[in-house]
Amino acid sequence: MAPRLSAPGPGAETPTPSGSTPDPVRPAPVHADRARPAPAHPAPGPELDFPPDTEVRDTPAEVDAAFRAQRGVALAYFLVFLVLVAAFPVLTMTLPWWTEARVFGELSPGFVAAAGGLYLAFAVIGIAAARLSASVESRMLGGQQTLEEGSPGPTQGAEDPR
Amino acid sequence: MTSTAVVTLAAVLIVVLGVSFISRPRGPSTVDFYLAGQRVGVMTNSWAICGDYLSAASFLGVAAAVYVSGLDGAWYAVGFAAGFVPVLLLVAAPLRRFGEFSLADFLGRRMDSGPVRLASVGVVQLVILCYLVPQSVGGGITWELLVGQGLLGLSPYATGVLLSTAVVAVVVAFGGMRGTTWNQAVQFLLLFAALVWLAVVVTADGFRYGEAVQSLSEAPLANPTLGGAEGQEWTLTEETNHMHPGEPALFGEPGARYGPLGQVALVVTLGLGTAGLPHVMNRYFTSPTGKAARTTTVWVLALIGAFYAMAIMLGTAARDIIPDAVAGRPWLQELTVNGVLHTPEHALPVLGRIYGEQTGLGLIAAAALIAAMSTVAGLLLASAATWGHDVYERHINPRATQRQAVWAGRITTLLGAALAAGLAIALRPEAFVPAMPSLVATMVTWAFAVAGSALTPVLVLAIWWHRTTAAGSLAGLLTGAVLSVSMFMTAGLITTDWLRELLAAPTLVVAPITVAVVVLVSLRTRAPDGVQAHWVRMHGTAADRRAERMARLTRGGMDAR
Repeated sequence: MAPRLSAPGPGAETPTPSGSTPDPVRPAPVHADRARPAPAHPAPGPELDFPPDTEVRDTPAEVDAAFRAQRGVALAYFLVFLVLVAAFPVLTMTLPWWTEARVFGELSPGFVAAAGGLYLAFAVIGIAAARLSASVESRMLGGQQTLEEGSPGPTQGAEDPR
Repeated sequence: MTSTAVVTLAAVLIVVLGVSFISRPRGPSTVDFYLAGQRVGVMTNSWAICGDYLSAASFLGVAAAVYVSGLDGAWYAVGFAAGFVPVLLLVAAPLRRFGEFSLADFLGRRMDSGPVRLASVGVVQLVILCYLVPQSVGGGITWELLVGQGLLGLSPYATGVLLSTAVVAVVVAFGGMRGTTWNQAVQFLLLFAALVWLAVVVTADGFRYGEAVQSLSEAPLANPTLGGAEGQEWTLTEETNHMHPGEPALFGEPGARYGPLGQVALVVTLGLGTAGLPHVMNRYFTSPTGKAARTTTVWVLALIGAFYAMAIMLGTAARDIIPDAVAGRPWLQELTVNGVLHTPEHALPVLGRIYGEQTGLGLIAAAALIAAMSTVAGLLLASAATWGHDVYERHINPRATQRQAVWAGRITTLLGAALAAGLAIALRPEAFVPAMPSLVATMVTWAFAVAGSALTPVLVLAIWWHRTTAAGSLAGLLTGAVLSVSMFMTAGLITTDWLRELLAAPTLVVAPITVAVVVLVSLRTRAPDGVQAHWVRMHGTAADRRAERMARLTRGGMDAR
């Protein structure tokens, strides 16, 4: 399959494909056939009547606001994750019930946690964080695209039609 | 060689070569060779990441660690599984949205710095080597148990190492990321199926998890060590309780291997290390969008959680079942002392043979070979990406054509495989048993230690702190790598338990130091130009939306959701 070359940068606010950023150590390769990985935007082919790039533009201000919200989400869930991991030795040292009680078959709470419970907790953290991150992104980014498509913008409280 | 061994090996070869042939690259493109055209869908990529990540250390090593250390062995599984939480929260989506070929490529371009790229290549290669060698060891152990004889005058172990590594090297060199992706996905499904089969037959035979743990915990935990007058006689030695000194170590309670600090140190080392593993992180560049990369990670978390829960159960089952199974099985008597295996990595293959005779052994051995091979494939490809793309294309021959660049990747793949096989042959697992209850899992911990101490902190700061500079990143990479290697190399010399545990899994100490070094140096140096453009690219979703729209329009094979 032919490499999917990046489309030209849609504007000053939009990142250019990785291949178009000059390397400070070496000049950019001059070969026309040099492929670079696309930053998730396949080039519109000539056979498709692809709309202009402006509809998928993010402004730096939008991105900065979304970034701050995402950072909050990531840090909050990371804190929960750290507490979960650190809780095991703390409970082992402080709570005899943790290793002596039998809660599932003949297994202690500590064994249940290490043998299966923590993986379940990790999966729950992952699902919750992913859903919240996706929600933050869909509400805070892509407003221009939404407005151009004729729907209420995310700032007006409407769900992203996607 | 038994007919079972022949059938097993033939089946593995047919799967690996068949998938590679069907999914071979269509042209000499580096995007195709290293990134599978960036069109790998969510489910396929999650299976492939699991295949990549669930190595011999996970398949043989986790069950072995539980077998030998009881509950404390489960910390390996907890750490391995925990690793994808930081990946999901901090790395997956922004890394993919930035969109490069490799971790070194990402850091080099994010910092606009050649030295950062080269330093990253060095650290990445160190991680890959630490990870690659135990996978080859796993291949050798499995061959030894399955086939039991060598070829061309080589020992069975050496034959297994060479053959498993060589097959994967050829597959990767000519299949590239596309072939490797489908191989890893199929291999994960086979691996998972083998574990499910074993869990089902063991349970159907009457194994009861809770009762087994209770029963195993009634006597002090003891494991074989070499002793006697000439140091060649296996005897059972009771484990020390590191949690409650003076009390016996028990299978079902913490303390057989780690004190409280050691538990946390191991989990943090494994948990943070995952985000810095080049072969796993490179897979994210193959996702069509950042959102797809994040969704992929959620699936990975669920799948590997199920996998590790079964591995822990089977490690327990092996400890419970094998002593009673020795009677009437001469082959098992050779592998055990008083019903306990000399080499804990044999736990699952032995369990397979007990329940399925030669067919069961063949199935588990095939899964173990597959586990080692799929991870070796990812590691070799990551190695090829750093040497072929980040060094050859960027520094040695910047005017290389696509064909030359792909061939550079192929050649470096073969060289990396040869080096790993050579080192694996030089190491004999039995020789390390007294110092390292599970050699495979322990060596993999080293890879996680370097990755979590050097690469992960720099990677996370590069993504989330816009003031991160090239000088700061360089200082962080070097500090993390040097400190982590120094600490785990000296761990064996330390007699104080808590200090040895901390040094053996040093990320808990080194990662904060690395972060401090990056922050301090970055604040004293100038941030690279174009940070805003990088930020929009990493944290914006314009490219995702465009790719999703494109996928809807073309209705092609790309799952961009």
